[in-house]
Amino acid sequence: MSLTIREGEIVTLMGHTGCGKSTLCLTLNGIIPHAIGGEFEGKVVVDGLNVIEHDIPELASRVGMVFQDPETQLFCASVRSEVAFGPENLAIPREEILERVKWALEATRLSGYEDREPTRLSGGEKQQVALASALAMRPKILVLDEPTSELDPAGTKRIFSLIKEMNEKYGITFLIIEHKEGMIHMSDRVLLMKDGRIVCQGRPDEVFSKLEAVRVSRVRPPEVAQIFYKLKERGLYTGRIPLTVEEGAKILRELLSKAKDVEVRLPEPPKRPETPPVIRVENVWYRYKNGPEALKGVTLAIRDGEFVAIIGRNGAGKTTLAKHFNGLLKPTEGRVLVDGVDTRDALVTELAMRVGYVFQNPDHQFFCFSVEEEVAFGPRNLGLSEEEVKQRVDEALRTVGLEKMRDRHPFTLSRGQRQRLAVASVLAMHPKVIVLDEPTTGQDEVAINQIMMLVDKLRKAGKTIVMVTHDMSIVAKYAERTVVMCRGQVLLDGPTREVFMRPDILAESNVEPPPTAKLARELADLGIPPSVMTVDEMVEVVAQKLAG
Amino acid sequence: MSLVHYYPGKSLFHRLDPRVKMVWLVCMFVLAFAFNHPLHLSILLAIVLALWVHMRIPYSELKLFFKALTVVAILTFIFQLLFYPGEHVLVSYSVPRWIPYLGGTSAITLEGLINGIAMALRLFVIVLTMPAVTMSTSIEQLVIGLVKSGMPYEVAFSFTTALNLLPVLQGDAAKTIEAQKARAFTAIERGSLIQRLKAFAPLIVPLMVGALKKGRQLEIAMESRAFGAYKRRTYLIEIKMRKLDWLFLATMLGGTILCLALRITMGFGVFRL
Repeated sequence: MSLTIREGEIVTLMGHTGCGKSTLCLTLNGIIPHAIGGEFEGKVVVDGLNVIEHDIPELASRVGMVFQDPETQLFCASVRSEVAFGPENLAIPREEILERVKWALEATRLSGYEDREPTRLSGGEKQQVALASALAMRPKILVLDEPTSELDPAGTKRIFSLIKEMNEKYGITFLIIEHKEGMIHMSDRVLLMKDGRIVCQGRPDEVFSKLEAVRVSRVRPPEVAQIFYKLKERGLYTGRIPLTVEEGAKILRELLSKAKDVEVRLPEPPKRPETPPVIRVENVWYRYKNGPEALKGVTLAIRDGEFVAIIGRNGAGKTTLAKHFNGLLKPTEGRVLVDGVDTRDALVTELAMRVGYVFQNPDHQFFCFSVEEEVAFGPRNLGLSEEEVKQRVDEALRTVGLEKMRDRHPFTLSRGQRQRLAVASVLAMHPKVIVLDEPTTGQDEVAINQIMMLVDKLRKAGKTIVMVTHDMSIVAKYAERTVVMCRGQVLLDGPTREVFMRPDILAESNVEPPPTAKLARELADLGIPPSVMTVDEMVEVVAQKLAG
Repeated sequence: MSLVHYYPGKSLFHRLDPRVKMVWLVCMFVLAFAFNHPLHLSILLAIVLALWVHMRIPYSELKLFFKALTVVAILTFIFQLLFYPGEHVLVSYSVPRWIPYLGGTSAITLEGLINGIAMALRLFVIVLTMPAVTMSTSIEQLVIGLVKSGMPYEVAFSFTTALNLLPVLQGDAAKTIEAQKARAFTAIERGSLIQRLKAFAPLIVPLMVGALKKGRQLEIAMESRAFGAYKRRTYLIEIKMRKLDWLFLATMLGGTILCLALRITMGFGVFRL
């Protein structure tokens, strides 16, 4: 691997899980090879210093690091001492430290937060503190390893705009591992990695016009680019690939100006018969112990066989609501009926066999010594015969494609496999409803597609799916109905298509429709239905227009 | 509930010099072991409880802890009561001979009763003293207190960050228990004592994996911020012994030494029949 990064650049590093992105980042401040051993060949020179000849503290004042998990990079009792920690270690005089803290907090828009406790801040604010802490060491380079993967869209946006600002105002060079689309648009350069090598690098638009490189590095290209890949495939377009909604709109405008004025329409989705509700939430209020009210009068019904997405900013009450579906939480007021049974009167076992819950982080939900045992855990608790348990385990492992892994220890599986194991372990209890809390967070494109194809397959097999997520592209592609939560209440509830046509209301919960939906709105005057929201739909209507 | 987590407050004890608090801790420990008279231990316990009230940490923060502690204290008491040897027999009872070690006639004695009470009280005093210090002192204060008492700061930091990681692990354990519940596992809530204890065993694997992973990440994050760069580092927080600190220290040390002297010379706080 060879790579040069110039002063003042914003470089985004992308690639599949395990491609070596994080390893590369850790060589820049000497953590590799000084603190984490291994075989190290070649040379890394940072700001004129050969990493191997200088120790970590010396490099730390040139290269700042921000990591993914706020929990394990903040460890002080106040924001002030957190930010001061680095300069303190460098034995900088007290007065200067105070100055630096003030400056770093200003630069990250955290002035006034000095005495706040980092553990009590929101995810986005915690990452701002992590940025400030790195900044206080006055580095020339900041290396960010998936800084937004635990954040909601609002927090992500804040971090992205800070990056831009710090780059422009203070000339800080950035190397960022990031999968979210917004970062690509801000980058001077994108690097695609695969199996420890850079397969492609250049300006974002150059990189994303090299389809083969994008495919092998298993990253998700911007949605607008995906539309144009498909138009190219169909022979409807030959020019360069645009990445943003604005560029895409401009090109499509030109392309469609030659098209005849024909009316296009989306294929009608097959009408589903009105099914009875499996879950009924009736005016539910919930208050956490010593906490604020997390739900304030929520009423909704989940019908049998539906695919419902629950979206909204962090703290809006999405997970709290989802945990009412299987009785993990019981309403403070109002009631929840699962299959007609009030959750307050039901036993855990009764609810667990009706509603399966897949938690956000798979690592907290495994406690057995093999994949097989893990899947058998639930059915055994239901008191089924060993024969029946075995049959269910086989069936569940086959469905998620983990039959060959049955003797492995759950923790030796990849993140994507663990996520599928989590699904298998609730599937074996034969629930009617499966609730998934952010099942795609922190995974690469291939793993995301695998889990979503699995979920889609389950839905087609008749399961009711409820999914909490921040990924609007996935919502548009899979969920027929979307519930938008905001401050403990339901802000919008309806067919996904209609929900995404109300960007004004969505903004209240800091949600933005997917880029394709925005593109469709831009082009409404050209006869593109504003209800278009997925890549395939957009390609379809453009093709119809051009064929017109 | 996060026992070791700093609970900000403005009480007098919160504001004491961390070194003074550490000395207080040692004094309480020494006295708790020096006394075996229920009356004297009760006074120690009253002091600790008064301190908790004074710190104004809500009882809800301690409820679970208190419950667990009470269970252990009761078990200790019963064990002492049944098996502590003594001369003043209150009740005789016999254990079937086929039970190893315990088989034969035995008796509940006055000594056992007194000793049981003393042990339970001692347990309360010792276990409640420690979190009073950690909950009233921020990590930074604790570190600088330890450093100024002569501990190398790398050691002081690893000690305190380990404390800091505990609430995180507590949260992880809660998530795993929730996941077990979602898979129809009810032993932790409804099972017998044995079933409950067994149910906690599976928690150990994910907790250990999580702790190792998080510890490693924490280490990398700290190194990235130049932790351990030089032998001496700057401390933003400065601690200084104020009049109040000296006063508290003097009273406390004086009292403890006096108690010890009386204990040695005239058996103060020792229970005799």
